Amino acid sequence: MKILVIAETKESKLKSTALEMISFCQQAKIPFDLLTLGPAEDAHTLGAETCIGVHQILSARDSASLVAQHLPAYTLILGTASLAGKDLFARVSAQSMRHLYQDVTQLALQGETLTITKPIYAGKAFAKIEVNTVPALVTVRPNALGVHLTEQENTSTQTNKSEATTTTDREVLTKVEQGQSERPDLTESRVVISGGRSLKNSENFNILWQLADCLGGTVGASRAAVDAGYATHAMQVGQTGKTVSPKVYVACGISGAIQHLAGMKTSKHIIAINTDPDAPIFKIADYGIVSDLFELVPKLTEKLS
Amino acid sequence: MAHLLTESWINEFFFIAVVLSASSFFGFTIASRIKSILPGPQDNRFDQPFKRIKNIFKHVFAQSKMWRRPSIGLAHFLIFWGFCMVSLGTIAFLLEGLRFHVGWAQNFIFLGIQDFFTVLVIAAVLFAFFRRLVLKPNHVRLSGDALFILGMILCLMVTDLCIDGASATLKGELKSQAWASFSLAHFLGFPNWSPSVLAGFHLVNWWIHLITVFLFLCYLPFSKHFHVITAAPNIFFGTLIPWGRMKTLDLENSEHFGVDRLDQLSWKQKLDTLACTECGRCSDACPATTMGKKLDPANIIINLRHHLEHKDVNTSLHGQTISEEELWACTTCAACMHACPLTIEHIPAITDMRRHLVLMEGKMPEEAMLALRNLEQKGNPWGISEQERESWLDTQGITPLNEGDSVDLLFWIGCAGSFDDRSKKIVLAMIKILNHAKISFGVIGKHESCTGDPARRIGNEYLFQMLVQGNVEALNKFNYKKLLTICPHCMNSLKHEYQEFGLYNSKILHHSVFIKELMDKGLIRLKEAQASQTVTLHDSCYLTRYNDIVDAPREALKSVPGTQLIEMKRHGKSNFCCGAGGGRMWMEEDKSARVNVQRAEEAVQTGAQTLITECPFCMTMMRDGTRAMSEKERADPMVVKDIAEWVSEHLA
Ligand SMILES: Cc1cc2nc3c(=O)[nH]c(=O)nc-3n(C[C@H](O)[C@H](O)[C@H](O)COP(=O)(O)OP(=O)(O)OC[C@H]3O[C@@H](n4cnc5c(N)ncnc54)[C@H](O)[C@@H]3O)c2cc1C
Ligand code: SF4
Ligand code: SF4
Repeated sequence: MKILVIAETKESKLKSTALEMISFCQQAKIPFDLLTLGPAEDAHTLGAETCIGVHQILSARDSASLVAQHLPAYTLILGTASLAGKDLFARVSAQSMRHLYQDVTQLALQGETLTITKPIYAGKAFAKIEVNTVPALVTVRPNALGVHLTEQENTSTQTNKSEATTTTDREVLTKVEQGQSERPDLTESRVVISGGRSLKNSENFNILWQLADCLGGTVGASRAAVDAGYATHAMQVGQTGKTVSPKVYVACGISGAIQHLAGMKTSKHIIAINTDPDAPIFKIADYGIVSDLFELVPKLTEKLS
Repeated sequence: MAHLLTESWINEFFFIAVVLSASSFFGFTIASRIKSILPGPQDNRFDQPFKRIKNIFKHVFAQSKMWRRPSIGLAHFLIFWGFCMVSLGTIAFLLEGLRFHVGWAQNFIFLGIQDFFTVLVIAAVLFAFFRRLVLKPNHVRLSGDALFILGMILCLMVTDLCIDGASATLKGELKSQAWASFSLAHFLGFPNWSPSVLAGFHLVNWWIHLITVFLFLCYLPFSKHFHVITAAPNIFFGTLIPWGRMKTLDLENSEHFGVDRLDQLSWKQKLDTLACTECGRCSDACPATTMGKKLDPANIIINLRHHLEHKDVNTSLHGQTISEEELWACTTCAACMHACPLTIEHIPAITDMRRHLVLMEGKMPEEAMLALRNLEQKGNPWGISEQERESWLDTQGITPLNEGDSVDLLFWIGCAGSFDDRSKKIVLAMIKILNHAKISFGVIGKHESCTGDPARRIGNEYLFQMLVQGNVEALNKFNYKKLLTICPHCMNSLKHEYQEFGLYNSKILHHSVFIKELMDKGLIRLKEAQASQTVTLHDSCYLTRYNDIVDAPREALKSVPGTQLIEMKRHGKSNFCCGAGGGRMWMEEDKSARVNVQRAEEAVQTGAQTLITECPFCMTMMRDGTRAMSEKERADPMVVKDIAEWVSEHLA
């Protein structure tokens, strides 16, 4: 058994999803190669050499043809079920005509037999599949495996730079640019404070920003607030705006139209502040506060900071 | 038209030369046009010949749609019939030129009638000039083409009168029955002219007339007035299938879905492009055009024609000829098709091109993609857990039927009614009415999913068929006589699109019609009027234009004591869309001012206290529209209620 781990990096560090896959290989005591997708120099600084079990570190730009070229040498190719990972693996699978298992939530190796678990019917059920095609292409859902690293200087690691001899990729990722804002991205933020039409003007949104800043979050808006010009379209949460699923979503003066709910209903904890006790938002809120947001929100900020 | 035969063989030689060359040129052009539209998928338009002939009477002879604008309708009617009459004269003119003796053409009664029409046509043409050059209505595109054609018609008529007057004078047969040429002859003083001058005058007019006839004929296929020839066939071959039934794609055996190139449009769809007169009636009615979006239904048809005329058949329509932005702006409201006097079918062209984008290229607005994914995974466009369909019914004490159960009336709740808080109130109001009228009914709860209307209209036929199969299987497990829905989109699909997929029962009722039925049966008792209340009704396009439901909701409303209906300017079959159809409900509208706000303004302008809707999506649009307005202009937004709510609130 030989495994190739396709590791995603961010700012020259391995992402935690890569460490998860490394942990898996370590626990299964199987030597593996690591392919990082990014500029070649990065490989050294990744801290990957310190991981036991890494044989070889290849590095290359994101290239499906390159991965496809390396394919025959391995029995299992592991990657992350991220947006980029799923995209890459789909292309690799198509180019090499190999079976692909996306968004896997459990991996089990017994001897040479690989068993995977993955959601089907949009998560309504899980399928356990014994994989007996070689090489198998698998992307693993983030946080599914967990990180339990064994670190030690590993002397036998080689680092190679690998370039695809031919590429059929029509698009190649060359650069990732960070957004300007210090604040977290709306779709990634752990805390989102949203305001609706009732905010009355864009200045009033500042009271939401203050609360968001003190919780390390960001601010969203209903479409009514966007239409009225109190917030930008980039801030719109809902069916025709952004879909968010933060740990905490605070809806301030939002009635809870289904078009809005469609964009935030999967948030872990929903807190609603509204003067109307019959507002539909209270039906899906975990915590509902019947109160004037102009009084309550500044008080909350004061208490929390 | 009397022809004074000139003895010169040169005249005759040129006459025959002109007739032959012009007719062969014309024949050749028509043949090549027919050849250019033929390649394409099958499209049988030869069924139900009697219905088709009836349409010819209705739309060609009676010009029924033209009368919606009475003044231009009359002018066009006169030009049309005048032209037909005058054409008889032209045929006689040509036959006589070929030395046939045409007795009836010399008949003074015929000449008199002909004169009458000639003068009518002149008047109508002058009016058309006036309208285009002076009145300049918005939708009319001022084009040299139109003026040239009008000019030619005028020339034909005037020369015709001159020829008749001159020839009658020369023959000494100038009689007052041919009153127009008679008057003209006297006005110009023909009897006092020397015969040779008059003969020369006659000859010149005769030649101008002849050449104009053929110039007209040969120019026609290159102008928008080609409709003189294409209109009748286009109307004859017009669709007889309900507008609400989209063509089913064969997903198993096709290699290409939707329309990318012209040869993927059927011959009739291409004939449409040749029939368009660019009159702009469709654009005038279109909500997208009205709001200033890029979509203009006339342009879709005209641009397809330009593509047909000037581009290789293998070039894609997408991009240069038709942009994605145009295609996604359409609400499938059918205002264009309702307006078009030539029964051109805009929507199938638009949705066929959407199908290509979605099924072949995976291109669509991101929000639409989300809605489709939700439909696929959760069976409803908002992606809410399907459990909730039943759980809220539970909270209302309504238990869904068990498989195999029988009921008279099955109430199909629909996604909006199941998940959207505002629409749930419509369902409850309807249930209150049913209970009041002691009508027993059943619901099927979790067995329902989205009917697939948005998926189909966005262009994802695959998803549509998947949803239909699930729903048909579910519905066929129950025994029912009628199916009731509060959603015009559910109703339309169930009624027109589901039979093909095996739905046994097709008695599908919209709640406004059912309420009216119950009222007629005397099953609904209403409160005495306390005070007069004014309402206005926003029609749903899928009820009026797609399903001919116009009167039932109006009568139901008027039956409620004290309710006074004030109509908006655009209502019934000419209503203005709310902006939600054709999957637009699931897409952002940021390219122009919003359709729903425009419509809300029209409702507010009536001065009515309450705005009544008949569709949960219209409801959302009208509520949002009135609120957006109220921000600027009104303290409180106009109250919006569904017709079921209105009736249920007035139950005794
Ligand atoms: C095609 C389409 C797409 C749409 N997409 C989206 C979308 O992506 N996202 C979205 O959000 N909407 C969307 N909508 C709009 C949606 O239908 C609602 O109109 C909108 O969400 C309402 O916004 P709101 O809650 O801010 O305003 P309202 O519904 O007007 O609610 C205001 C609320 O504030 C409360 N309130 C007032 N004053 C105070 C106060 N001082 N303190 C506390 N509470 C107060 C009121 O009780 C009320 O509940 C869409 C609509 C359509 C037609
Ligand atoms: S269906 Fe309605 S929106 Fe679409 S082109 Fe026709 S009039 Fe315009
Ligand atoms: S499609 Fe019909 S309504 Fe529209 S411009 Fe052409 S002829 Fe007129």
